[in-house]
Amino acid sequence: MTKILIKARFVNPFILCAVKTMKSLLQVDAARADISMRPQPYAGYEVMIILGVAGDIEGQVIYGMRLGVALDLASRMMLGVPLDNLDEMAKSALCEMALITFDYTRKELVEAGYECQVTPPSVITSFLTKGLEMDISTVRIRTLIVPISYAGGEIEINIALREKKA
Amino acid sequence: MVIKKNINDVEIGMILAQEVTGPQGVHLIPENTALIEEHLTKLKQWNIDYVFIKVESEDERIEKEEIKTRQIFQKAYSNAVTCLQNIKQNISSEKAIKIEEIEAPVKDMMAKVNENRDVLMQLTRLNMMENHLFSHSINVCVYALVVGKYLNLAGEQLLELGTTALLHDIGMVKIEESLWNNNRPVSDNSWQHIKKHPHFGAEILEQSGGYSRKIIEGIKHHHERINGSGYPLGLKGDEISFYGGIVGLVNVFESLTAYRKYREPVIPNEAMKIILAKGRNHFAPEFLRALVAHIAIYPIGSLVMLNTGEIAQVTGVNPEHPFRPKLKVLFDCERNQQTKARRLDLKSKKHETTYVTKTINQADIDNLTSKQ
Ligand SMILES: [Fe+2]
Repeated sequence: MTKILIKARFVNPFILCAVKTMKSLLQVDAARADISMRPQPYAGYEVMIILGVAGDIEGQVIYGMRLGVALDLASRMMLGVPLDNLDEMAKSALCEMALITFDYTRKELVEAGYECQVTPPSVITSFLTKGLEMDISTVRIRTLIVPISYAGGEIEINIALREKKA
Repeated sequence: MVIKKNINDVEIGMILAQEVTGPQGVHLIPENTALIEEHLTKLKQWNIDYVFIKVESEDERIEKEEIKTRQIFQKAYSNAVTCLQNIKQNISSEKAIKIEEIEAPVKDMMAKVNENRDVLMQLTRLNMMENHLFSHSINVCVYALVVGKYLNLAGEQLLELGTTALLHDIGMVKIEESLWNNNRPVSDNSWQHIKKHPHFGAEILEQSGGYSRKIIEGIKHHHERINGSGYPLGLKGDEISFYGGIVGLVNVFESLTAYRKYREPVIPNEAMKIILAKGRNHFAPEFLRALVAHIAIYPIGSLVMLNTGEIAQVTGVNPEHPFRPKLKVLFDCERNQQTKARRLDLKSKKHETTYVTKTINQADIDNLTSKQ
């Protein structure tokens, strides 16, 4: 067994709530696939929704996905309206989804004994950073990669969080 | 709100929140006085150091402004109603419908959309609730203008679109009212007849003269659907005219969300889901996007629940950010009704982690607030 330093206590809510929110918000069934580890968040996705977390736990949570998946999620958020490019409106829909997902997660974290706040989500596309060896992450925290799959494709949740040192 | 003001900062026109009294409680200037120059001189002569002044909070100012605008806009709305009444009469006495006559209210609505779209949309909701005769046609006109603007129409084109929208059901006057305006299900025979109203409408305008081909086609096509399932011609895709497609969509949306004698209105959010369930094959995607972006997710006038536990009413839409509307809080998180409306704009930095959890209706509010 590899030494997993990340505590399940604050990681589990992220996984559970991602699946739960997709069900309640978008009416789709989602399932978690095998978890892996990376030294820091992966930054090569076509579309990334990035959330900053501060409080008893701190770091970043990044939802990474293909463009097609991002459009599908945004479309589902927007009551099913067909979308063909990731414009302001589609990005705003993705941010809203991430915000709501995190709010559910935050409630569970509080129950697990962690108080924390979120910085408003932002959406980044790799088209903006093409050709650049860009590190979108400001944190170098061992990162748990949790793939979530649903009818529209796959989302990878990068959980780069650690407990704040007292 | 009341603030204490040093006499040197008091200006003409400010309103006293408390009477000014002299030694031994002599009444000098009564409460609620709007100060004039003479007062200022006297206050200094009397050696008064400070007075209490009434100030409007930003929210109060916005509220007042909105009420004023709404009153002005309601006049335009009522003028449009009168215009449609006249037209109906003209048709029954076989007179032509002059295009200038119908363009006047459309131009008026176009100006209002530019001036304050949010307030105009509040009005469509209010008039819908009061079930004004003709409010449906006027609302369809307003929605079409909003969608048209989003699709970058302007000037003559927007005017044509608005005219198409305002007159879209004009052909119904040729159909006996008893066939469609009752609570009974429509018989197959009547339905076959009602389905001719787009055709009758086009005919009326052709006979009147002065209407462009695009307007006439728009009216003819407002019940056609891109997959060919519409009526009367069963046209497909590009065969449906541009105005016909837009008016067709906003017409369905308005009808679903409107108040009817025989049923509860559908919550706008749900209405949009109903449209989209079929709509992917009924309407052009860019029209659907425009409707969702500017009208349908949290439409103005609708009631919403926030993650903070507050209940609010939507007062404005931030274009391109349909999930971040402008709101007026009606009940705080403990379900106390708010006497002074607090405004919040979900697009502002201050509220960026607040969000709408769901759209509700008046009955939900009654339930939620009566349990206390
Ligand atoms: Fe019609």
